[in-house]
Amino acid sequence: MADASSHFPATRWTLLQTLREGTEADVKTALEALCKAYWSPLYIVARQSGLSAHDAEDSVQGFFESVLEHEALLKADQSLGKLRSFLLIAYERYRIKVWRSKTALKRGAGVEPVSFSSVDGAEERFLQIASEGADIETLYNREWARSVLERSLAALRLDYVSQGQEERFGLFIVYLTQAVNDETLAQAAVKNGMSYAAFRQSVFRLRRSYRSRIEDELALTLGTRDAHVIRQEMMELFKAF
Amino acid sequence: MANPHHNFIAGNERDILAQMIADEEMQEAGVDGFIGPYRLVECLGEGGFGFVWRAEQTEPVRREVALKVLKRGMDTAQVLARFSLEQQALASMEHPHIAALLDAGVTHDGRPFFAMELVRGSALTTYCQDKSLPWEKRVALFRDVCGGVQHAHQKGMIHRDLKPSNILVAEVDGKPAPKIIDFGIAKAMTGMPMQEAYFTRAGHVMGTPLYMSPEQLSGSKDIDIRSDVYALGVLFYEMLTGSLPYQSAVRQTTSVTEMLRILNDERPVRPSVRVTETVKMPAVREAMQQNALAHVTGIPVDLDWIILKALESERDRRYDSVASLMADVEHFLRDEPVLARPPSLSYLAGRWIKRNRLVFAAACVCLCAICGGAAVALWQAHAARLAQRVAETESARAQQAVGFLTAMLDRVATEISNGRNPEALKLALENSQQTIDGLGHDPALQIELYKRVGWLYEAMGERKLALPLIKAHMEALGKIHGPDSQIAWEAELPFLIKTIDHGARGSAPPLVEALLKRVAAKGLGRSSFAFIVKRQLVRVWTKLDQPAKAAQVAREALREMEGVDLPGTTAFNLKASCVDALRAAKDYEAAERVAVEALEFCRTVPELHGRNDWLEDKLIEVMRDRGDHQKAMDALAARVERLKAHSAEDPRPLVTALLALGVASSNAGKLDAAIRHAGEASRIASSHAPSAEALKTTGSLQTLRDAQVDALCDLVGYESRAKKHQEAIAHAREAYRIADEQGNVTRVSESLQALANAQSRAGDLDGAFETYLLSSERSGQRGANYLRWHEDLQSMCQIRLQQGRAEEALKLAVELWHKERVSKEAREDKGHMSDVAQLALRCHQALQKKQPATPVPPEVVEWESAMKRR
Repeated sequence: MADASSHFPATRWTLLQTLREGTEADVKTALEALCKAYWSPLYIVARQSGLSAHDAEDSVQGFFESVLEHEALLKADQSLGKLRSFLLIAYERYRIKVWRSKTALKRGAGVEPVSFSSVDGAEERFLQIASEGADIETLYNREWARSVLERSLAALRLDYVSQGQEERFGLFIVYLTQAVNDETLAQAAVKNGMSYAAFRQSVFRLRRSYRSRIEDELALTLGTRDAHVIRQEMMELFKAF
Repeated sequence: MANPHHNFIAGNERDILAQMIADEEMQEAGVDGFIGPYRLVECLGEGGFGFVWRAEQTEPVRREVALKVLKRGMDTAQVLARFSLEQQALASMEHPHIAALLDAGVTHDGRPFFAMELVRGSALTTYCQDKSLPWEKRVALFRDVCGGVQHAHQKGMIHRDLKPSNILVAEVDGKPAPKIIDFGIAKAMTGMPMQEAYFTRAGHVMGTPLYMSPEQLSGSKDIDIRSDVYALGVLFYEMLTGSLPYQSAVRQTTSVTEMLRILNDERPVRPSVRVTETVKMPAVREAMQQNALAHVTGIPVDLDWIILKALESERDRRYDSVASLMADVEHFLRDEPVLARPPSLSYLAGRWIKRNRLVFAAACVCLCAICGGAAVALWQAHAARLAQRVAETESARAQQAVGFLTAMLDRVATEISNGRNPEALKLALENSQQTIDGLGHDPALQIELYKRVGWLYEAMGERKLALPLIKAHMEALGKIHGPDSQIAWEAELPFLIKTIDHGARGSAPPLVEALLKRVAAKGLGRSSFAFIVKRQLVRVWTKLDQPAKAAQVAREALREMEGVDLPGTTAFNLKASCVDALRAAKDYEAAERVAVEALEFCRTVPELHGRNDWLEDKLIEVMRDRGDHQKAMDALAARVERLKAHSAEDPRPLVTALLALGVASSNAGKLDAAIRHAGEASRIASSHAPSAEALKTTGSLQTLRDAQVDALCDLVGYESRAKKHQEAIAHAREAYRIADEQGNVTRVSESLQALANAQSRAGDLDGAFETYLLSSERSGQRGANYLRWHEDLQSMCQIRLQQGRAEEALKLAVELWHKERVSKEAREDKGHMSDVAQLALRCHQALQKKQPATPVPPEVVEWESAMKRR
């Protein structure tokens, strides 16, 4: 698990290792990554369990604080591949047993609240999916998958933007959702004044890059680049919808 | 860092992931890669478990195929089994309208794949639209599709996912050739069930639910070929109308529960109507002018019924197989009558009541009009007027329903003309009161409905159901016009009459008295209405077995009516009821006087002709009760003469009169005359009675056979008493023969009773015993009422006692007693129980007398206490 390669930035160090051995700043960064990945899935769970929007926010926030305080995450390494299930179960336990009594106390002592910029729109999404009629675990997994896809897409866009290819990104993004065949690609190439080969290559480049950004995201929360583990997580992603 | 694409993911997750999987597949095979001998060209689509590729085969022949490959990671035992099932399904089928299986194999990483015939065509509905196919050709195309599905069914496969994109139409030699391509979630009718088909991942319907039958949508595991029938119905509907049966409603919902509710509660608009509606839409009209929708006009109604039958939400109501659906489509194509019929009224009513209470109520008015005997044509005109009125007075909602109303009434007319109305009507009217109760905003309609539906129940013999409606009618009128308006009174009267005749009779007297007081308070105490009400008071006391009260009210009424000019019928009816009351009070003199008066009155009033005999019967009963048998005989003899003058068409009144005359003669002690009259009645009945053969076909002739048995039994009684035993026994046997032939349990039992009586009077006690035994066996067989076989047993016991065979008698008595004790009806009849106990004790005593050493049966204690309780 200590196979973090040199080109792998510090923030992408294996998560648990960071939690165990990292500096305070590292821990904070790692926790933030984890929170980014699981904040909105857990928020959906909280809302679906009947908490109000405000209480759901408090509850999830409190959960992540508690996780850090009690080093609960450290116990998760026994079943690393099941980090997602572990978080769901741990959260449910927290919600029922801990948070209810904790809300009675004045909060804010101890760990400074982490700010989560990526949680925007969680409530909106909850409202969208509340009517799907699926069970909590399904919703949680879907929200996780969606947030992985979203963060990966944001990362991908950043790649394009940093290379000055924002426009290109906008042009090809639609092919992430569409089946491509020779005819459609040829037509689109003509329309955009590009050669068929160049067009086709750009489409597939975008699709491939997107896939590797997703793998990066998965690696981040898994704390490993192990191809087999990531592959497994990828299958989980495929199954979420 | 503004991200213009931050909303790109939500809603597209599934598509994005599918593309990633496709890419993975392609990469795996390499851009020029092969799966088996097939070079992947293009991904055609993604199913639940696999991808379909357009692929190229070079060896041994050069052709393009559709290659279906199981997705990686999907190779669980269950999915593998299903995949192989689809392959087997395809392999077993060989039909021009099913894409053929060409080859099968396994990829290098162990995933199964198979190659199918590649169909280059467009989806079924798209093809119909693109080609602007006239509806006749659409029907033929649909028939072909049915052929393919039927073939699959014959091979034991249910498709379960029939939808336009799974049926591609290519043109072969310029003719459309549909092919069913996807058996991905097909299910073998026997063998392994494929359970996880639709609701993978917690409640998410896979694929489009729009073509799924309600049972599939609800996740039922019990799916059969009728689910395919349903899907074909949806397809056919869409092919003909260009829209889905529940399109607007279903499109607006994402919830399976809601969709199921729509499917179960609503019926789709008939295709021909939908088409007409569509044509009315401006955009469509425009399109039609460009001739693009020329096909949409004039879809024959027969097709409506075919489609709606396939689309029934209850599968028992659908075609039982695609074969029969196809047969009906073929009937239609050959201009033969189709089997599908408009849904029956009772069924429709149930669904429809849920949808539109007001229009349901309006329909009831129309139904009442039919039952009132109006000709159907007249009734339809009425329905049309009513529909018009509803449309004018109600909102747009009602207007929408008018079309449906008219259509439904048309169907009711069919039901009626088929003679099936009573049951259907009853069903349609169930819960109608509640429905009408909800119409408070339209009191006029509400009142009309209470009255008509109540009346309709009456006509149907459902008196218990009628009463609350009659009451509601009365109260509704009282609310509007005031409870003491003439109109409210007139509504109250039928309520009181029904209560007296069929309802809680005991509650009626105070109600009637109160009404009388209210009428009097308005100064109308001597109006004909007051006397009509008074008559009800006479009747109710008589019926309540309160003769003193009844006679008192009767005398009052008779006094009060003197000098009042009442309508003939009112006066006559009141007097008739007074006769009953006075007779019950044993005031025979007054009763006879009133009856004679009334009879004389009857002769002077033309509208009362025909009511003569009714009152005369009352008079004769009075005569009989006061022991004036000669007078009764005279009156009946006069009637017999009258009837003989015109008995040709229907002999029954004459037979009845002769039997009555026989009874009167017998009462007068004139047995010879009684025998003569009963014998004549028997001869007349026999000469008119139908043969046993004729009896099997008609019900109305039965009564003459009954009359025959009645006459013979009466005759037997008279002959026995006149000591003409041989004749009596012969006639009794004859009666039994006829009753037995007719199969009427009651008459069989009566005739055996008559025979046993005759035998025992003739001194043939053993013969009588045998007859009672036969009778008890026959009653036992038919489960006849308890009194019959208990009586038989009782008679047998008495005979043995009479014969001095006390031991046998006691045995029978004990048997009888135990049977009585387990019979609920017998236990409730205390008098009967003590009679039985008395007989048993007599047997016991007789035996003790004869053989004092006999042990006392344990029942004796019970018998003695039953006797005391008397």
